[in-house]
Amino acid sequence: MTHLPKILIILILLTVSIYDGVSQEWNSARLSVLYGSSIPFNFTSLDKIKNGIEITPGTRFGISMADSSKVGHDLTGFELYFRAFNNQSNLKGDSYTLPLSTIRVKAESALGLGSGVSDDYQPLTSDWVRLFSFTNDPWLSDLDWANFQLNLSFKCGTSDTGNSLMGEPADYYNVEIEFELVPIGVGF
Amino acid sequence: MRKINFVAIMLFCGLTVFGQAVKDRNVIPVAVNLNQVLRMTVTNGGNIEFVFNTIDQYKNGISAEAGPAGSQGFYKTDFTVSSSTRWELNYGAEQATFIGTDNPANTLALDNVGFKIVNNGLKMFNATGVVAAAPANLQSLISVPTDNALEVTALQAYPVALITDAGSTVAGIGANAGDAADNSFTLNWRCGTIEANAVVPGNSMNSVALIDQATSPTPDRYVVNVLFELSAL
Repeated sequence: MTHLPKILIILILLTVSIYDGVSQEWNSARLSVLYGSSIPFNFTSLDKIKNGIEITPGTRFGISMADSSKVGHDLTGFELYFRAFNNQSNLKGDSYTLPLSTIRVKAESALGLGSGVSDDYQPLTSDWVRLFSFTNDPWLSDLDWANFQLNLSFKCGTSDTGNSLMGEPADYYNVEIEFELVPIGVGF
Repeated sequence: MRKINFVAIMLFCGLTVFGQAVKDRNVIPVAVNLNQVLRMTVTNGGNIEFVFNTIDQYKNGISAEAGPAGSQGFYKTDFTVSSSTRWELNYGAEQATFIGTDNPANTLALDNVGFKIVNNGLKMFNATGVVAAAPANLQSLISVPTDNALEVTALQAYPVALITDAGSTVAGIGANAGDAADNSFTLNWRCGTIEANAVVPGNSMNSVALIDQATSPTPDRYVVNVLFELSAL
């Protein structure tokens, strides 16, 4: 029983410590799908199979990002990356597969992010690939999804993918594409 | 008390460990639905008829590659293949012989009729002769009966693989899948021309002219349906 005060003090310190830990995030970030939460490519004619399909825009993202004003961590912008979800290695059909590079994705400013840099169409891989970067240095105002939006365009089987679908077996192929919004700045 | 101070210091040191940049992720499912396209279109010459009414024709036969220039087109069949996948074209006569229409007991051997393939498309035949200058990715056709469009083949009973995909068996060769511009062919038919197939002797036409055959064919109108079946590989 003589140790009870010590234990209580330690418990209080622990509680305070964990609470402070939660509050230590340097920023907030939110990637919202405004529309285009799934992308279907339907190849119903030989012309589409030969020349590919481009869906533009296919998806619109809203970007929300705020700086928490933590000393030593100065938010200056963000980058958007993409990859095949869970490092999936190909587009899986019921019986066949297609290479990931059959799909290409591009991100462009739709609203409020015109000073950002688009990396144009990039082939889908199992590793993170950057699609878009935006810098607002110094960070003058936080971004909200209603005024800062990105359009995502998708290509499948077009000549620049190097993966024409001509000759590929008929099947229903699918892949999940994972997008990551990454804050950038001093201390990040 | 020292222990408590130590623990407290360690906990406060640990505060910075929990600091982090916040990222966010989202997942978009993408589906690719490839529907099969497979179509053969006969654009000209869907019905071929040889009419023998001179001794010269009985001696030398009738051919799409000989005789009066204006008549050659009557003995040609043009067709195209549009396929989204690798394909194979099987063909052959529906019966083992031609059948007389006036008297079904009259027959004529199939090998009195033959044809040669002419390639009009962008896809080329693999291996020998005509394809030497073509890029490898276009040498995607194989025709064994005609030695890749170099030889005449006699008409045979169904089924015979007439044209198939080279890429399935030869490394580095593209698929023969393509549209009508890629896969366009002409069959130059002939009858009684006694032409041999030097590479596949078994596919040679009858070596005896109609006028010289041991049992002279009974005058009749001989017919047979030639079937073509396009299938995906």
